[in-house]
Amino acid sequence: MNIGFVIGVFGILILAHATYSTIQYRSYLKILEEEFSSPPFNVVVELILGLVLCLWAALAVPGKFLSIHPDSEENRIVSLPANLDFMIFNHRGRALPTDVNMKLKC
Amino acid sequence: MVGASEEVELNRLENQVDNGGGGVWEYLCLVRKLKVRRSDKVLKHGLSILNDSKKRSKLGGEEWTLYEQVAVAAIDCQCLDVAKDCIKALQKQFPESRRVGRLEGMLLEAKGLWADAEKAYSSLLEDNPLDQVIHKRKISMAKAQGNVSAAIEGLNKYLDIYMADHDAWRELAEIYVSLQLYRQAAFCYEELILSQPTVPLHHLAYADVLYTLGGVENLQIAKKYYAATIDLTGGKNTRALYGICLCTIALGQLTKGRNKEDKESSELHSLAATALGKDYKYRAPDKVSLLTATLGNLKLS
Amino acid sequence: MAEDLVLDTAIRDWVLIPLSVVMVLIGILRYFVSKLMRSSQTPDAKIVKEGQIVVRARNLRAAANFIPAKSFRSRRAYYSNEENGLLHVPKGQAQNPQAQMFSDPNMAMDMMKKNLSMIIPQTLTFAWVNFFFSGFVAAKIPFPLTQRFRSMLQNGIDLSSVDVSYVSSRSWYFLNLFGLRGLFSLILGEENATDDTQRMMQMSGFGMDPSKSLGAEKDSLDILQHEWALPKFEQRAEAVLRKLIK
Repeated sequence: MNIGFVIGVFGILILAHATYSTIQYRSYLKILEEEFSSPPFNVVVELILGLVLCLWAALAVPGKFLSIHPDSEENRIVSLPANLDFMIFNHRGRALPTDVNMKLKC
Repeated sequence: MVGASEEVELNRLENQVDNGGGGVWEYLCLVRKLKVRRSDKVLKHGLSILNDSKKRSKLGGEEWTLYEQVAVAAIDCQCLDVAKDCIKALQKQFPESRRVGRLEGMLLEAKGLWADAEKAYSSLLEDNPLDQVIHKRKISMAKAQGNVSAAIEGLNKYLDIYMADHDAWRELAEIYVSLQLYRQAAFCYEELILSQPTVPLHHLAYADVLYTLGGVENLQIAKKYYAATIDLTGGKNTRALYGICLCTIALGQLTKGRNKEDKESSELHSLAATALGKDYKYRAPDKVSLLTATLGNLKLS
Repeated sequence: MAEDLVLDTAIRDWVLIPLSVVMVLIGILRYFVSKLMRSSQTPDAKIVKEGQIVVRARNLRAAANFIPAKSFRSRRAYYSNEENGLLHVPKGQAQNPQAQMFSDPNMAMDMMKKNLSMIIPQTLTFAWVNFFFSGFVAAKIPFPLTQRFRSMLQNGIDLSSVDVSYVSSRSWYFLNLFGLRGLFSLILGEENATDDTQRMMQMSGFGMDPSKSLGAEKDSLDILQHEWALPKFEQRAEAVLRKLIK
C-alpha cells in the first residue's frame, strides 16, 4: 500500500516533469520559429514510464482484488441461509427451556 | 449465502463473544446479514446490549433493528416474556406498524394460539393483501401445526403470484423431499438452479433428489450435477464426492452386462475417491480406515 | 465581434446569485412537497404477478443451460404456448394505458398531483424571472460559442451584435432549471435527484404497457437454443479434482 502510494506520487512527478519539458521544448521551437511536430524522444519515454507507474499505483493502492472464481475462499458457498421467513417455533427448543432469568430491563 | 470466509469470520466472532470479548454488535450484524439461525446466542448477547442503556443509545436508529432481532430470537427460544417486552418497546416506538404486528402474530404462534395468530395475520393482510412475509407466516403456521398438505397448498398459491421468490421454492422443495415426493421436489430444485445458477448447494440437492429417484437416466443426470457441485466448490464438498462414487456404482450395477459406456466416467469416480481419501487424511485422520472400508465395500457390491 | 461588455457587479450580487439560490431552494421545496403528496400506491396483484413472471422467464432464459433439456422444454411450453402460456397475452386484452387511466380515477389523481408539483412552481418562477430580470445580460461563459447557441443562451435579448458567450438572465434561469441535477443529487441523495427533464421523460413514458414486456420475453424465449451445459461440467470437475489431488 505504502510502496504503491510512493510509486504513484513518483509517477505523477514524472508526468509533471514531462509536461514541463514539453512546454520548454515548445517555447524553444518558437524561438527557432520551427513547427511543432512531435515531442522529443526522451519526453515520450518519460511519459510512458509515468503512465506505467501511475497505472501500477492505481491498481495497487485503492484495495485488494477479489476473486471471481466460484470456488475461491471468499466466494465458496458452504451453507444456505436459514429460511427465516418460514421459521416455525414449535420445535424441540420448546421442550428444553433456556435460561429463565433473562429479562429485558427498560 | 454463507461463504467460506464468512463462516470462518462468524465462528471467530462467536467464540470471541462467548468468551466475553468485544464485538457483540458486529456479531449480531453478521448473524443478521448471513441470516443464520443462532437464536440462543442472539438472545443472550442482544439482551446484554439492550439492557445496557449506554451501549443501546450508541446504536442510534439501529436500536430498533436490534429489538426486532432479539424479539424473534426470544420467540424462537420460548422466552416469551422477553419477546413480549421487546415487542412492547417496538410498539411504543412504531404504533400501527405492520412489521410489529407481524411480530405479535409470531408471539401468538409461539404460544400455540393458532386461531389468534391466524386472526392477527388475516387482519394484517386486509391492510395490505400483498405482504409477502405475512403470506409466508401463514404458510409456516400450517406447517407448524403439522398440516403439511395445507402448507403445500398455500405455497403453491403463493408461488402462483410470487413465482420469482426462491426462498419459497426452497421451502416447497424441502417439504416435498420430507414427503418423499421426489419428482415434485426435483422441479422445485430446477427452479432454484434457474434463479441462482452459481449456488452449488442447489445443484447438490437436485442431484440428491435425482439419485434417490433412481433409474439409469436420472443417475446419469445426478452424476453430472454432482460434478457441477464439485466444480463450483473446488472439490471441497464431501457430499458431492460421495455422490459421484455412489452414482458410478449404481450405474455400474444397472448397466451390468450391457456395453460399457465411456471410460471417462470411471476416471472421475476414482478421482473422487482419491480426493475423498486425501480430504479425510487431512481433516479426520482417524476415520481414514472407515472410509477405505466403505469405498471397498461399495466397489465389491 | 463586439467589444467586451462590462457587467455591473450589482448584476452578479442581485441577479445571478439570487437566481441560482432560488432555483436550488425551489428544487428542494418541490422535492419535499412531492414527497408529502406521494400516495403510497398498492400495486395490483395482477401487475405484481406479471412482474414476477417476467423475472422468472428471464431467469429461465439466462440459466437455461443448467437444467436438462426435458425440463427446459416443458418450462418453455408452460411459458409460451399459444393457449394458456404464462407469457402469452391474448390479443385485445392488452389494455392501453389511456383507457386504464380513465377507468381508474386514482391514477388520474396521481398524475394530477405530479403535474401540480411540477407545473405550478415552474410557471410561478418563470413569471417571477420574467417580471424582474428580463432583458439583460447576467453572465458570460468563459469560452466562445457558435451562433446556434444564441437562442439558448440569449433568450429575451434580441440583439444579434452581442457575442454569444454572454448569457441573458432568462437563459440563466433555464440553464439552472435543467442543469441542477448534479447538485440535487448531492443535497438530496443519489436517488432523489429528479430534475425536470427527467420528470418529463417519466411523464411521456407513463403507463408502459406490461404486456409488451411479456411479449418480448416470450419472443426471446422462443428463439432460445438450449444446450445443456452439464456434460462439460464433468470434464471440468475432473480437472478440478486432478488439481486438488496433486
